[in-house]
Amino acid sequence: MKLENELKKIMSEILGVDTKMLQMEVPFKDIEDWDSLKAMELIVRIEDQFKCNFSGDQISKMTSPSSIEKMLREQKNG
Amino acid sequence: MAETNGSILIPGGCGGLGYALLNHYRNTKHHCIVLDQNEESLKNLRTEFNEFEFIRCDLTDEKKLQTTFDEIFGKFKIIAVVNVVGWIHSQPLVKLNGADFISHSLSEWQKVLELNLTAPFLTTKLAAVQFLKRKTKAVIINVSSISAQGNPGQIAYSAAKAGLESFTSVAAKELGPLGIRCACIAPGFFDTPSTQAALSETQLNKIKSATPLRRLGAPEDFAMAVQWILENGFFNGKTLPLDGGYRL
Repeated sequence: MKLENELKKIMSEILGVDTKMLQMEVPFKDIEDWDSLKAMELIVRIEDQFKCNFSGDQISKMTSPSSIEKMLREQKNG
Repeated sequence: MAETNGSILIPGGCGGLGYALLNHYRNTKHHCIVLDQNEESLKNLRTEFNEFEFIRCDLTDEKKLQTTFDEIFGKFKIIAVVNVVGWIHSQPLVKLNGADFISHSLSEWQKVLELNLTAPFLTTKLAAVQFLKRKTKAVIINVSSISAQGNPGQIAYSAAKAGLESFTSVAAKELGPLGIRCACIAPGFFDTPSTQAALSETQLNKIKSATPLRRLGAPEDFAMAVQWILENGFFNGKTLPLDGGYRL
């Protein structure tokens, strides 16, 4: 739950919306105002905050907040 | 506090402002790498500043720049790019020639835009990709001019520098969230060989008289402005005027 909240906090800052408006399963492409710049910003922010590195392959699979959460958990456990 | 440890890439660094940076950063923790087309100047600078790197490169050739950037960024930890590339050119939009009017040459217009706008555009975008790939927090400084405000007799140069300030502002907005700052410095008249060569003593005296500080900018003034932007991690997207108050 803590990871989900942290992800939502980053996303809310990038999108300029309240965290309550964000749902983990909603694909990024369905989020209004989502674009490639915001996608890059999200990756940079997450890598900075969680001290991790995503490969190009992983980035291409980041289709929703929940997919990022899953990858972060895998990195943490792996 | 911002970018402090690493190398500085200086495209077009063979002129007076590039020289100012090399002088400023010699014997400091910053390593400098100069990219320029002018082989003769590169050779002279290489002799004078043998601790730095000097690489010949056409700054308008995207493919060659790409290869050169791959090599440089692979070898050095670049934390800043200072684009001093440019070419001062004076030519009015229309001038009288006897009983006829002659308009600004298209080829000269294109050359001015290529060297003052396209070249820094290429180095900015290629550097941004390298910084993002390497996850480097960095800064890109583009050197504009007080002519960006519109200087009669320099229509192409003024347009190019205004464009440079505008694209720097856009780059700052796009890259800022990714950890890359972009800013411009707009120098006025500086005491460099190119200024001395371009202007007569009378013209220089008129400029000094119109400058509240009654002098030309010293090369070190420019280097200190660059260093200030490097150190001030909250300066972004703007143009820092550096003209002694000439344009007040």
